[in-house]
Amino acid sequence: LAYRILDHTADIGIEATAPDIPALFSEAVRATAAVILDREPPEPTGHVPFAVDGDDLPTVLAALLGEALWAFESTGRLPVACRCEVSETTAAGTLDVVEDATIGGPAIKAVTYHQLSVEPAGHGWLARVIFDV
Amino acid sequence: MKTRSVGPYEWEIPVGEVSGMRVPGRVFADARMLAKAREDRALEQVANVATLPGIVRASYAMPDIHWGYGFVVGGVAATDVDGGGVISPGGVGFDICCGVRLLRSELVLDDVRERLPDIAQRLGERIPRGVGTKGMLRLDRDELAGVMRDGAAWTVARGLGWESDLERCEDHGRLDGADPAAVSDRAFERGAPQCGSLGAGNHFLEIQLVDEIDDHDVADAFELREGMVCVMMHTGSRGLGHQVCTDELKVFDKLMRRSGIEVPDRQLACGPVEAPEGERYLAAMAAAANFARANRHALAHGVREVFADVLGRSAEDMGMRLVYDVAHNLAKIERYTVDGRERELCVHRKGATRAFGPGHPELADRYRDVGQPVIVPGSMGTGSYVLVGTDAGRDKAFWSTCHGAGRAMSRTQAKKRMGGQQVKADLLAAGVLVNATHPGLLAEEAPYAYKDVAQVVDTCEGAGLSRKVARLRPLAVIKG
Repeated sequence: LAYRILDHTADIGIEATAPDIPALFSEAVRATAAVILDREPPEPTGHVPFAVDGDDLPTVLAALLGEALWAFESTGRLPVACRCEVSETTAAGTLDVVEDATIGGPAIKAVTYHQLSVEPAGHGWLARVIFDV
Repeated sequence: MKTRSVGPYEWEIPVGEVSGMRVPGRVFADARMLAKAREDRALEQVANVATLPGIVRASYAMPDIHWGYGFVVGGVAATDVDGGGVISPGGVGFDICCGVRLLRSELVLDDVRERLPDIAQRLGERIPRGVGTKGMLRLDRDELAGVMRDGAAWTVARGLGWESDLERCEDHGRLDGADPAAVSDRAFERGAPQCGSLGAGNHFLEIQLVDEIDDHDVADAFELREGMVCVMMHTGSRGLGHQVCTDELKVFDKLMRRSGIEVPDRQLACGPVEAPEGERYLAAMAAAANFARANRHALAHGVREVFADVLGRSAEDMGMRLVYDVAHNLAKIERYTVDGRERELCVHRKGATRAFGPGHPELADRYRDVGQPVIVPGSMGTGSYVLVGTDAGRDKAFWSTCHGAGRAMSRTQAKKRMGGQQVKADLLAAGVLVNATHPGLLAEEAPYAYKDVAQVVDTCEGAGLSRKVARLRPLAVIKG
């Protein structure tokens, strides 16, 4: 797996790695789905468009994951990956979703900026995100 | 992180432990709690909060302190509004005005014993719960704006709840200054279907029994007696509040950079209270807070209806009156004397409860002589407490006290120790009925994942923050 779930006394986090930023963002979406499902996410069955912005890569990622949580809350469709184009301040593309996902893990309320990071690591990129649950 | 004892259950983190600290940290804890806070790096977060511009006296932490995201959970920070003090959306949190409400009744255990499974079952059916749940009320945009402006009074005006409930709510159920225009369309969209819903995670509804009275005079004023059946509920502003915080975090992150403010953690993003962004956040936060008050009010109405249906008596006849409704995630403008001068302060309470002492002018007549009720839920299946604010609390920590037991164990650790079904079976064996939409998740909220709430409230009493009034034990738990 290219992600791991971070244990936290009150909340929960994810760490994802990938060779490039679009793949990193997709891996972060997959990790978020894994937290919600408490298992490896299934293959997607549909997709929805999205466009988000931020001040820098970490806040763009936070906005993307916020969009994924909103899609789940409002439609019941859980994003498990994404395909997107990313600039320093925007990301746009499609969220790959599964229908009628059943929660197996903690309910995520929101994406925090606590320890939020997107940074080069080895030959690729590393992202860290802490959620409020 | 250095600490030194400065009084019974009181420890100071000296200025300088984290670069940029403007005031010391002050932690209310016994030695064991302090060690735990040190271990999970919560003390570092107390020191980080002490770097906020305009913070006065100290960055405080209550005995239920644990590591949070940015602000410590159990934290209190007051900033001087006229002295360039800041407001931080992260210092309130995503679940704006998350809080607790306690209904009392004239019922005793014998009145409900046989029907308890029915009541728990019916509450489970009546009270919407879980992630993204649709609430008891479906509101159009104008109605939702009304909820944001008027809070619990909006629900009472529509026949949900009683007029007499309002004086038994913090701020009479309505926080001034709310402006729905400061709330985003996305927040409207999230809030519209969710008013009157419990949510998930650590939110719950519990049928409880008063099993110990510590202060009979104050308990009389709160209309609590030993053996009385009560209902406690814990929830907040749901997706609407989460969205307000998400939106504002982005705004303040930008503002902070523009203003040249530096803080050790990006989640502490902040800006001057008196900046346009600060004023707008306060207006949006108040709107979300009023939604939370209306949410708990609607739920209480549902609880009364279920008890009336199952027991065949009216809620009025059963004396199902509100004891109090109080938040533990909020920032409020309050006046205090600091360094000999009266000042307007922005008091952030993140996982901490306001606890006005006797005589405070903002308290309703009913409670002014004795002090404000504070409702402290314990972990699922253990005892909860009703406390009262003290005179000493004002100077101790801006009239603040604990908000619960405080987590001691991560969710992963908790699940490794025991499965959710086993937790449910253990609770049942201890005489506590459990109605949960996801029983597998019960392990995350198991009693052993939390600190001992009795130690937390005893420490608050020892430190002078609040006093114990009554202890309640659970009979049935309804979880999202």
